[in-house]
Amino acid sequence: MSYQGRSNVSKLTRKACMLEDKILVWKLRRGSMNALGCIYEKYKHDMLALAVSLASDHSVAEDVVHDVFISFAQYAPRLQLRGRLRSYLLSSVANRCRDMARKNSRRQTRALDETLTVTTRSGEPDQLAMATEQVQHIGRALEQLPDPQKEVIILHLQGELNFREIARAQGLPLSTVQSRYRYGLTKLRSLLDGEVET
Amino acid sequence: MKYIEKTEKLIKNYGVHKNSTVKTTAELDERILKDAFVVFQKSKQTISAELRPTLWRLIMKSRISKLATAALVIIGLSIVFTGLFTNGAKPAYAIEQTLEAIRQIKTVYMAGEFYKQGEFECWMQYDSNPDKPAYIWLGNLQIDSPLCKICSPDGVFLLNRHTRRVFYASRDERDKNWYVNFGKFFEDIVKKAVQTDSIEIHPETTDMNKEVIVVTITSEKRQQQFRVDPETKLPLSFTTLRENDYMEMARNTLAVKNLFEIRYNEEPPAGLFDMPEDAVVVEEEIDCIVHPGMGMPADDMTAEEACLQLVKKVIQATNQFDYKTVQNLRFPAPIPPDEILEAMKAQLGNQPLIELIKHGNPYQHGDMWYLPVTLLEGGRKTKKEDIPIKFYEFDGKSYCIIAYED
Repeated sequence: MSYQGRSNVSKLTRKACMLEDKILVWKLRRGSMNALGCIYEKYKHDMLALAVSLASDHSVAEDVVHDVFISFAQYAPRLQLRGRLRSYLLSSVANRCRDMARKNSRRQTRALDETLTVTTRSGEPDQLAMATEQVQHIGRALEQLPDPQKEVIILHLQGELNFREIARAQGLPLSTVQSRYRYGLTKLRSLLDGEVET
Repeated sequence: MKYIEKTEKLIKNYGVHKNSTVKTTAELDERILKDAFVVFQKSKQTISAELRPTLWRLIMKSRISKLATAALVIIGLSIVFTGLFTNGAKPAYAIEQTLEAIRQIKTVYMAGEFYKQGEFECWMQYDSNPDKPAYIWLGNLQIDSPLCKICSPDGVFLLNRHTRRVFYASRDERDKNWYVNFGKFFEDIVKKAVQTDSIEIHPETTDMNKEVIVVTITSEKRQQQFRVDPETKLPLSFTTLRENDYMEMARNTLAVKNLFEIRYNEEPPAGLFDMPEDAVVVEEEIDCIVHPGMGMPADDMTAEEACLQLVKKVIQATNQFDYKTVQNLRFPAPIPPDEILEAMKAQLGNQPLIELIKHGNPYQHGDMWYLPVTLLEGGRKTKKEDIPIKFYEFDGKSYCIIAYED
């Protein structure tokens, strides 16, 4: 039997990734520093990107990732992972962002230009698939959403968590999460009127 | 395209843009990893003292250990994979090479996960016969369980590493099928896969930057995958990607789901296969299995009261899917796979899994006590049985535990 090419391989990627994670978590629970480092390397950018989208500014986002990963390392030896590791980490980021937002009850206003600068500082020009103005417009629209709706939308569309994972992470009924998503998108529709053709 | 879908697509693109442009800096990486390693190290040092033994006792019930074992590898089938490494730097791979490599090993260490009993580890040492290990050591990793089972030419014994108690039998179990057989299990899978043309092989670079050969085997019921070291041709891990027939797995006493780590030709820890000199041999298996904290304390009540209270506690824990408690009070207590648990919960809704409809008076027969009960399962099926309960003394205190016979 010969190698059948890579076409089917892509179908396995997600599952294989989960299994890779499972092995990493298993090694982590056995005390492997290497596994801890691998997990960080694997998900650090995703965590930061999500935190930047949810938190008030880039330095806060960095603190969020720091706190989340330290907490993860602390509880790693007894970690009982029932879902995806990525979902677990991103949910933790979202939860931490929410906690910090509550602490800083007065929401910090962020200069959008500054945000764009910090969020793209490591990006190459050819990576910027979206026009700057469009990014600004969408960012502005998301900022105007109520936090619960914004969080669900970002976790689902940017973080690629499914609704069940979000519900579990937020301790909410699935229907509540779906409602928030629906209402959020409806509001975005009006805010992004010029971006989305009817 | 509907408006909502367009909005979703727009936000998704925005997310992709963010994900591709936001990167951590080297300074941040260093700060986080440095702090993470420190707390991880501290946490590792304290964790072992806090963990308590639970799980798995089922493995030790050798009479019912027919096992669906598992492991790797392989068979002499001409499934040749060429062109994997086109630069010629690496050799082509054939599954039969793995079979041959496995037949040469002297020792193997496996750490993995059973469907029902959780994580385990296993050592095997071979002399001359690659189909029958000379020594086997099987232990449970789950929450630092103290129980391990050792098979040797002199017999089989169960050792409780906390209490130093041993339950011994002179039978030779090394040719039984309960242990993780390195040949048969995987041979069957591959044979079936070859018949249905469902083996796929591809190279992969792991997160640790190591090149491996990935073999994926797909059947109607399940999809399994193992990774092979391109140099030694030996399997490094085995994983189940998909399982459609969980009931089949639930029926098997020991069904291996994953093997996270496999190592070869290492010297086993000294004395691993020997009975400890300070061990106390007990006559009943239950006396070896139990350890401080296991079962329900029964000092302050009559045996009759204890029987009823124990059964009620187990039913309550079962309905709360609190398997830690169940495993502490009942032997054996296999855990359904997560997928089955989820299905059960969905099907049950608010209905309790099991209800005690009525009970009779507990009675004693030999060493055991029995509580006659009528149970309602899943709100539909009634079941009558006499639940067997074992009382035992440990460190001057009395405990009781539900102890089913095989």
